[in-house]
Amino acid sequence: MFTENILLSMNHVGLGDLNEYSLLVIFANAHSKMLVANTDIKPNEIKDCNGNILYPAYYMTRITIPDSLKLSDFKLWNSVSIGVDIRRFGNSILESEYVLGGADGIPKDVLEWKTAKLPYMEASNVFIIDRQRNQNRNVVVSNPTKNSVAELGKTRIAPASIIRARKIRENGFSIDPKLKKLNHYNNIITKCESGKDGPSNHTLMFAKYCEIMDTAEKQYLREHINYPLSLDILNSCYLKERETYYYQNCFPDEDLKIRIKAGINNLENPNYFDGKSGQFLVATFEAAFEVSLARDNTLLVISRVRKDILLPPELQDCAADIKRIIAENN
Amino acid sequence: MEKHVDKIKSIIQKIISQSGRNSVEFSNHSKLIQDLGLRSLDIAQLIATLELEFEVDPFSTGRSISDLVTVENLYTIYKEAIEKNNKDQNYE
Repeated sequence: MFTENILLSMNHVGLGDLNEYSLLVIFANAHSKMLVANTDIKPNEIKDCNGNILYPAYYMTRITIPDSLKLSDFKLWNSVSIGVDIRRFGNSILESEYVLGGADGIPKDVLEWKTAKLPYMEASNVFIIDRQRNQNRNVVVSNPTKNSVAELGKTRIAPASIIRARKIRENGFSIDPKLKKLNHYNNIITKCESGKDGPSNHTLMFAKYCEIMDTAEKQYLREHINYPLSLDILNSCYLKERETYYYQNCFPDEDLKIRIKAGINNLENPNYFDGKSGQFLVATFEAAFEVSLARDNTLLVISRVRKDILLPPELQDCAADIKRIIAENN
Repeated sequence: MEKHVDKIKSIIQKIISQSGRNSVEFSNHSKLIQDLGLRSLDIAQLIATLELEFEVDPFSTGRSISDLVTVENLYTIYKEAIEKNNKDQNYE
């Protein structure tokens, strides 16, 4: 296990609050530090026996945010505690858990992290050869040499994520049948740009995909469903869970195609959520995404997200809008 | 047939069936990726499972993953690694 306390600075959250992208990067940083803890090497110096630089590519991430919390509750200049625990299956595959806590810290026992009512993530990685843009794009797994990675706990059981990654690739994600379905949309095209979305000579970081999907989701809900949602409602969606499978790499300056299907349900009696902000939980929203390269439909990512729609007192009229829009869209 | 060959065969079949495909006939010359359709995560799972089974990892002690093309390569690489490991343990 590796733990650290950090101050949420502008490096992490700009001038805003903690969000999904910054949480993923904070977790990934802690993961990298644990991989080389108590060694003389840096995370970008892990090599195989041919001298190839390796990195632990995420092939699955699953974030959960408990009902009592929003990521935006963690503000710029707040102190936070990070915990990460990594176990290896053989030398190629890693399973990990992460937790983020506030002023009260995090549980000392890893087994308590999942139920601790804190932002939590489980993830799986496989070591692959780091490719530059002008090299073969194929994903090639490799094993780090002895002593180039810290001593990690071992698991003798193959991670369940391996089988689930295959099943999701075969079947995709379905939307909760209790939600009212919105129309599918298959053609949001977005460009990821070198500089803005990642360095030109390196593949996109896994965390970037949640930003890409969030942007596509807003565009979809604003422009591509039969009765669109207002910006006020879109800005009132809060992440509860995202499960993502990463199948292939992508370099910046590619056009990406995003397919979305979604469902939404309003709560008949809005639940009071937060005494401080006075926000009411009025609806839940779920969306499934497939992200591919636009030029040849190579599959990059499949993901499903669940969000709560929480309205502050001054936007309570939007609850009626959501009810009407759901009925009109069905 | 050497014991490790049987074990490697059964692990390959298990991984193929876990990926939703029916069991396939394969020969020593079958290529892991082109003929058996193993993807990068399947290869990683295969190597990890073999490491747990035989308690050796030839790919972190000198062997390159790029040497792994056919089923026969797997048999040879793990035979060498097991024999070396046995020799080292006897020496100790």
